[in-house]
Amino acid sequence: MERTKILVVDDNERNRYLVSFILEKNGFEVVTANDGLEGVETAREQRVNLIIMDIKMPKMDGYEATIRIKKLEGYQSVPIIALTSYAMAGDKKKAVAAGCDGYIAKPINPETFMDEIRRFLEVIK
Amino acid sequence: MKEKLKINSLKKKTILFILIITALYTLVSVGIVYQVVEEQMMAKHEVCRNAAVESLSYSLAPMLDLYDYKQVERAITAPLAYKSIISVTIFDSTGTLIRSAAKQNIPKDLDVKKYNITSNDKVIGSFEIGFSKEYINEQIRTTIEALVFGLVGFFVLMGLAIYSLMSRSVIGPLEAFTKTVKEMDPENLSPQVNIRSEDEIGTLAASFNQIAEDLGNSQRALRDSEEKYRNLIEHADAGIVIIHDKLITYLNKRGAEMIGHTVEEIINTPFTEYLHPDELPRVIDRYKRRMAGEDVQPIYETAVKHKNGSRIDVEFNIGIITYDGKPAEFVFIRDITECKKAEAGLREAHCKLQEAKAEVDKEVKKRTQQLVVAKEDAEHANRMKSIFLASMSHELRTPLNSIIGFTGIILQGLAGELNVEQRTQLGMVYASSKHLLALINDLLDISKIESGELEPDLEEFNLAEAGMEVRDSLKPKAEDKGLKLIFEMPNINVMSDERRFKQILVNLVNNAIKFTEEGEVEVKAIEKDKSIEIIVKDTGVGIKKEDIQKLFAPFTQLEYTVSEERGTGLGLYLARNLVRLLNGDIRVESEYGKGSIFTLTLPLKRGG
Amino acid sequence: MDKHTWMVLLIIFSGLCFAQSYLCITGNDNKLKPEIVVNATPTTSTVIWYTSIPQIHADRIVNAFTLETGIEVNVVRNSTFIVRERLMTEIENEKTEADVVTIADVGTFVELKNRGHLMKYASPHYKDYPEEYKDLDYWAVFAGFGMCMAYDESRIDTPPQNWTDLLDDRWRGRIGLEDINTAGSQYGQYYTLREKLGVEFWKDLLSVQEPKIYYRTEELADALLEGEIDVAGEFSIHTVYNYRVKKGTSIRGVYPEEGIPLIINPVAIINQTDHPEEAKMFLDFLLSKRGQELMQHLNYKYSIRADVAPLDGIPSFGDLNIIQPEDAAEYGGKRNEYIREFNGFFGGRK
Repeated sequence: MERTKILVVDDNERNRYLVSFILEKNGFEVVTANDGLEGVETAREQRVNLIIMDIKMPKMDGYEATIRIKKLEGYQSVPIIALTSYAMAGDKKKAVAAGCDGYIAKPINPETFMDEIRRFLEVIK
Repeated sequence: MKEKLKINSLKKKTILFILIITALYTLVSVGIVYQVVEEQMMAKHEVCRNAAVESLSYSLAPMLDLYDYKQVERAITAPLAYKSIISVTIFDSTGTLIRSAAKQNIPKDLDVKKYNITSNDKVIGSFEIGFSKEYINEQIRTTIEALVFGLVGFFVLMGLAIYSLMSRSVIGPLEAFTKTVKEMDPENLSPQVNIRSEDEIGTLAASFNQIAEDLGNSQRALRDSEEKYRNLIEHADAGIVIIHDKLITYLNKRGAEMIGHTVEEIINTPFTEYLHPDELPRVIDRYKRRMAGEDVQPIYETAVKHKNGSRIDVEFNIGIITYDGKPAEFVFIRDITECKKAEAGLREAHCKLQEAKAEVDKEVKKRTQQLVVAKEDAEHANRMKSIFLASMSHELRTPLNSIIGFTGIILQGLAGELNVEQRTQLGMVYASSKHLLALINDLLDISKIESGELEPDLEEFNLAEAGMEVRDSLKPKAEDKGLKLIFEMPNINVMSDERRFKQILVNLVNNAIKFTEEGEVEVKAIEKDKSIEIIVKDTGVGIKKEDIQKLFAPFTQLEYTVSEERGTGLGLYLARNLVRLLNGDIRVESEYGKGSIFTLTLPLKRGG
Repeated sequence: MDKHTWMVLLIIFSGLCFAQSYLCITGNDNKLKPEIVVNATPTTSTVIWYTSIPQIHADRIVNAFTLETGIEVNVVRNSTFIVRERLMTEIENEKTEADVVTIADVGTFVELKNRGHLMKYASPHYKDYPEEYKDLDYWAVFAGFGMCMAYDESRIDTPPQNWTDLLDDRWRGRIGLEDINTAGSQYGQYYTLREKLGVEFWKDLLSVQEPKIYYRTEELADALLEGEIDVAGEFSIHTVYNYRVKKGTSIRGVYPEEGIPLIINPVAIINQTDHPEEAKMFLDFLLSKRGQELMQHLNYKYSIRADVAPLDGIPSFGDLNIIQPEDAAEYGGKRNEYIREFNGFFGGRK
């Protein structure tokens, strides 16, 4: 059985490390990207089942990347979860408008993080 | 005398009418009765005659036979009882007079007829009867007389009765009415007619009274109005002149005063006399043009001549009116000498004002510029603040992400087993970093609120679901303390900021749990008409009355709790601000030692 | 003048009108009745006639006479003997006005003639009267009437047939007679029947048969009709005629064969008359055929004249058995005595 592949897009190394670690420890295959641009590329090149997208990134922010990825073939049904720090008002709205299927607040709560991810995965199934 | 004979009143008409009726009726009756009676009497006469003849013929025979002349006398006297029979004479067969009976006065139309007396077909004598019809006339005359007298008598009585009736119900009231009306003072039209009968006259009287009253009222009103206007005009502080065909037909006191004349002097003199010679041609020209129908400016300045020769500057305001039924010029004259003086002064002042204004404008410009600069600075400052907050938010959370995250997963054993001490210490680190996050969140929120940056993210969400999430997140904590956690949220959609709502609710429930050692925490929602009330009720330590004030103030922490967990001290302060942001409010009821009830009210913007 | 005064005046006026109206109607009726003047045949002079003929008949006879002659006649009438007494007394006193006398008592006439109080007058009519009924040129019989009996046919089926029948027990108390003191006829009957049948007859009749006395013929007739009496013992034939023919009652006469007493009623002129010519004319009239016919017509008595047709309904004069007093003088002379006798018999009723 193919393992569920999750793409993590975040410009912060530690964050990447953190999220990936949790996911892998929970049995998911993880690929990462450093910014939005890379994220889109990766999505195009590899088939993933879920994308965790940080918002504030250089070169291309999370919104832009989401939009682009959603345009990719086969990615309409792939959930994209935004990681938002609620810095600005309307962050949530923006995420939804870009096409995100959900959002998780930063900093992540390690105790509930997996539950939330799994919930989104349920949707696909 | 002639006046008396004229038929000019109801009374006379009635009397005349009665007289005419009487006369007519009498004449007709007389005529008819005459005819009838005459006929009847003639007939009776004949009958009587025949009867007399027959009876005599019959009765006399035996009497004659027996020579019973006593009876004969009786027999021939008897018929004389009839008025028609004047004489009866009996003769024997030889023609010798046996007896005769006759009335004293022989009428002129005596008609004597002879009849035979027979017995056994033998003529034994004869008798003569003398008839007269004069009595008929006599009788008729008497009858007619009686009739006429009777009718007259009757009609007089009837007439009296009718007259009385008419008098009482019609003529009398009408006369009284007429008299009252005639004598009414035209100045004082008050209701005076005193007729109360319940018939047409009464109605007429009542109507008349009403009209009189109304008229009197309107007259009074008119007088008052007239007085008002007269006063207005008379005491106006301007001259009012009315001109008919170039002559002044009305002038008020002030107008006369203005040019030093009396009203009497000026009335019916041409207006041109009082114009100042300099102005004369202009005014006359305008007048002519106006009269010709041209649309001339009604208000203009000119001058008039005072009696003492001095010039008076005036302003004319001319209108065309109908006065006394004729078109006239109505001129409103204002003495503007004072005006003119004032005007000059005003002009000077105006210039000065203009200068001052220019100065002011300059100043204003300067200040404005300064203000603009200040505003831009402020805006800039604001913008900086926003950016600062935003980046702070992001910057602060990022390292925390690592701290909490890694600490958390290590504690989960995902990076390997931990010994007890390690777990303990790491636990502390984890808790502290969580606390720090809470503080940062709260501070950022407060900061946003303070700078007005905080905007609710309105979306439709389900209350029950949101409540469920809150419950799930706090259930472990409650269970740890052995407390019952009851959640009753209605399954309705509301339009609000879900995140903040959950934040507030979490805060309240968290507090409840924190301050309750045993019992339960109940969360219930009550739908009101335009809002929803969510009640968080606990059986905790409660809050002292004096402390309720301070409850929602920042950095306040009450010391009742024995919990080690320390709050931020900002929870309720922030909660309240957030709620207010969402157009709701929080209030608290508490009894120290028993528990507390926090009521969160949110406007119900129901989702569709 | 104010209204009320007017009204009152008018009402009064009206009242007056009505009153006047009323007066007109009634006044007419109450107007003075015109005087009525009655004229009679113009008369020139007056004759005074003393008579016992019933007043009405006398008046009527007089009417006829006056009409013819223009001579007025004053009738002094009473029953026979009253007139006689009056006349005699007046003559005694030489103050009588009587011009002509006609009473039903021939005795009086004989007496008067004998004393020279009757005028001798040769009336042309004396020749028409038989001797026994006149005293030539002095008196003649003006009227004669027979005495009979009478009864009510409706009550009595078998009346007495003869005078003597009256003495039957059957008729006791049921007989009527006239008063002899005044009725000449009653005296005549008494005298004549006394002569014919004897005084015993009258004695029995008057004292035994208890007759009722009446004072007037009408009363006697009425008594018959009313059933007071069954038979009139004395009744005159002319009265029978009157009641039977003229009045049509159920009175019938009985004409005894024994004889019918005839009472005659002579007429004569008193010598002392003031109106001799008129008296003569009257006497002539009375004795003339015309007068006699009139008398019979009016009185129903018998006329002695042969040329007077008799009346129907009663026996004619000739059919009767006339009985008359033998002696006229005695007839007169016995009067007082017989009257006393009558009264005595009558008074001596048991």
